Amino acid sequence: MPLLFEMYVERDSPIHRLDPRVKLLWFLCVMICAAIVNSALPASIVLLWIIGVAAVARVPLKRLLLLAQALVYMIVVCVLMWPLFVRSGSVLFKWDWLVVTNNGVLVGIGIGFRIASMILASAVVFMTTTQKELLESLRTIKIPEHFVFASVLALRYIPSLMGEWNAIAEAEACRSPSRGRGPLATIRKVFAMRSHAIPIMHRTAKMTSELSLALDSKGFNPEKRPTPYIELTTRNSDRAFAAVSILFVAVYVALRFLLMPQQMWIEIY
Amino acid sequence: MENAVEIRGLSFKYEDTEASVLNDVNLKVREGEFLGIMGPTGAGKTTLCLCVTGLIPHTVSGQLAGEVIVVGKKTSEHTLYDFVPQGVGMVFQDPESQLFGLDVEEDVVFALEYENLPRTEIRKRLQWALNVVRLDGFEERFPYFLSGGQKQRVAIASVLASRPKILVLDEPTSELDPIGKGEVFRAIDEVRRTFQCTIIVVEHDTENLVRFADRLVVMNKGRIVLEGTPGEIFRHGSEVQKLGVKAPQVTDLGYLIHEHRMNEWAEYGTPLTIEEARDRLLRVLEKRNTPFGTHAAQHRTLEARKDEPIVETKDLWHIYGMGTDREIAALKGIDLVIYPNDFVAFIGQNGSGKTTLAKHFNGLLKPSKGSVLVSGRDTKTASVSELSGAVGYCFQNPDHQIFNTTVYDEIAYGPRNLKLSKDQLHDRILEALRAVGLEGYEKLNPLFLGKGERQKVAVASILAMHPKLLIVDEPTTGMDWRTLTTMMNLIKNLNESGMAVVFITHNMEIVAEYAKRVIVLFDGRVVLDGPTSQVFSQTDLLMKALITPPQITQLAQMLKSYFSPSTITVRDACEHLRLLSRGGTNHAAVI
Repeated sequence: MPLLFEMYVERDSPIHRLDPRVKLLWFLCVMICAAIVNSALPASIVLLWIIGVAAVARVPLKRLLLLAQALVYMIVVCVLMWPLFVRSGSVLFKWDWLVVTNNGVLVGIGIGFRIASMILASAVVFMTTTQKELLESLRTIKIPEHFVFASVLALRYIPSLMGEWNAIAEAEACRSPSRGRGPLATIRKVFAMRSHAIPIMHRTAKMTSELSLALDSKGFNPEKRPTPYIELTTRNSDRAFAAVSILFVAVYVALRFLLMPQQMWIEIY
Repeated sequence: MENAVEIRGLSFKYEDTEASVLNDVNLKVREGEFLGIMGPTGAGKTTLCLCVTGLIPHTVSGQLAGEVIVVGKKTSEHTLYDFVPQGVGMVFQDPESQLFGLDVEEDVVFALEYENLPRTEIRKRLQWALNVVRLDGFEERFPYFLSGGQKQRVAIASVLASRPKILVLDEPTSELDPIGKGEVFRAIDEVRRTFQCTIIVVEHDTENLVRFADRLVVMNKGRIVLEGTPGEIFRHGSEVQKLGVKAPQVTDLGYLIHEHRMNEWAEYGTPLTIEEARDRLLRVLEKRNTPFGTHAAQHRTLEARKDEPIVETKDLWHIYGMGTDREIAALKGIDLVIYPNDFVAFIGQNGSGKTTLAKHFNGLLKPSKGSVLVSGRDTKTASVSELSGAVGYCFQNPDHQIFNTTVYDEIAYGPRNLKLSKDQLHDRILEALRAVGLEGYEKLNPLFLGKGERQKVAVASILAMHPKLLIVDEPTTGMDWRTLTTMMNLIKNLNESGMAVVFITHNMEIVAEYAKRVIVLFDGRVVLDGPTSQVFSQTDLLMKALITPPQITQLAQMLKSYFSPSTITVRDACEHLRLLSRGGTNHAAVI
């Protein structure tokens, strides 16, 4: 699908074949690990773990790099900003009020990697799982049907509404005054969008009323639980992957709270 | 045979309307019958469909009187789930709003999941339904990216999967191009042959309908006014025409023969298909022993023009997604000139580049290569607003271009930016309203008008900007014949008053009737450009561009030895027959 919001990349990889629910579990594990550490080394291990999974999944490097580009900025900002606030540890550099400690650098890198981990992990899940599988797994883990079905409709109608919006914007441009060039023009353009409200609401209302008729005519019954057509099966590889993920979290929790809390989490003050 | 549907004394009024939409409708549909419903917009056709599916009274509320019995059950005495989806399934007009799944498969299995069928059965039905509509292998496609015809076939498959006893289709092809229309009708026919279900179709496209329907009913103002086989219905020419129902062109020829009392051709009668028409004409011609003639086509050629062109394109290329790995060349080196007073039709299949080309004329799209000059000005250096004084663009769907809550404000929206005095502005608005025949509508809310009237408001709002060239993108899609002719006559009047017009359409009858010049696009190139009759006589090139000329032209081409290849309207054909019967065979009317 040539769309920005559809990130799925078709590949035949062990990660693609995983039960989507296991991938959601893995995502949860990654989140926990990233949330409980703030030092550079443990955070980088989490990041490596994600990159490893991405490599096995053979998600295209080009797309990952596109994301990484944005991530690098974020990491750089973290590395530059955090040392300004961290006061603990030995002083590496001092100039007037500006004090940079070794802990500051570690936390800066650690937090940068944490954010990167969270974004990359969700990217890996979306790149290796179709929207349909994701929604079906939400169904099986007993997320209410209203919510799942509303998500299906939302995803389905994004491109339709974008199409409608473009048509409206073009029609408006044909009869609107010249908005000139430069930053003021952009503001004028944004301001002019208020006139799109009438047609877009009119179109959406029309589409939804037709949609509700179509749904009813197909026997849609919100009280009823449909037989899911896709069968999600859990195989040994799924169980193994889940076990490794849980073990990883267990180790991190143990290290963070029992064995070596100082190395995993650096106190700021 | 049992009745699949039985309607007795049915009247219905929506909650928010004042008048009844259906008035005392009585109708029986036999099991396995193919019934066509016709009639002008607002006749109550869709409401009748909703009553048959049980959506009225179960989903749509209002006042219902009389009874509707579907598959032996009275709709008002059962729940909706007693009818849908196994009893009766419905396909709606807009393919966009009835496909709500993330892929084709999800749409087709949707109802089956709610029927709680076992998974293996669901899979079997999915394959079967897709096979009937010839979309095998489309399971994982995203509905939004399918063509209109494909979308509508998915919609049919998604209803068919539940194996309904009755299939109701409400204007399933009115938003489709000719290829899409053909696909959908073939699919309906296939359903009928492989799976004996009752079919009820609401349709404006008579030419397709008469080929398949066993029986037709014509509705007007909430009542059934005519009922019978297609042959019976179209025998009453004047009645059908009065109701705004378009007869097939070959039938129209019969009406015209009758009207002009050309008794020597009376045997022609009122055929419904081209083949029938050909056979009947041949019978008369052979009986009269009319000698073959030679018909060198005589055409007006495009005169060399010296006046200043409005639009001029030079080696115009347009490439979508330039610089990405998904480059698509939509226009490939177009050279053409539009002069003042031109009345041009752009024709071609979907994706041939018609709209892309037209959008270059007012700067909505800029050339990837080559240039477009509008009144001598390069569009690359001008914004859409700067060009809007010279070229007005009216979009296909009026709903996309109505931004205000009164007709007056709507029409004032464009010219307000032109720095006119208050009086000038007011004059322009009144003038535009007069041109489209909507005087007195100033204070109404355009959103509550009918589609034809909204389309007129859209045209008026462009007219008020006084463009030299008016572009109208598919002005007649989904309109009944009466609304459609009103719209086209309006455009014709504008052209006669001196405005150049470019219109994009799939309706070849309209092209033949109105356009002075036709430009045929295929795969991003202009394959034909010339006077209408000349373009339509180039059968081979048209075929290559996947265009079917109007029925009457096809008939003339089948009878090449008698007809001039430049016969493009029913009037031409009738005139020709008159000449033939006078013994003249070498008349090739210059058109």
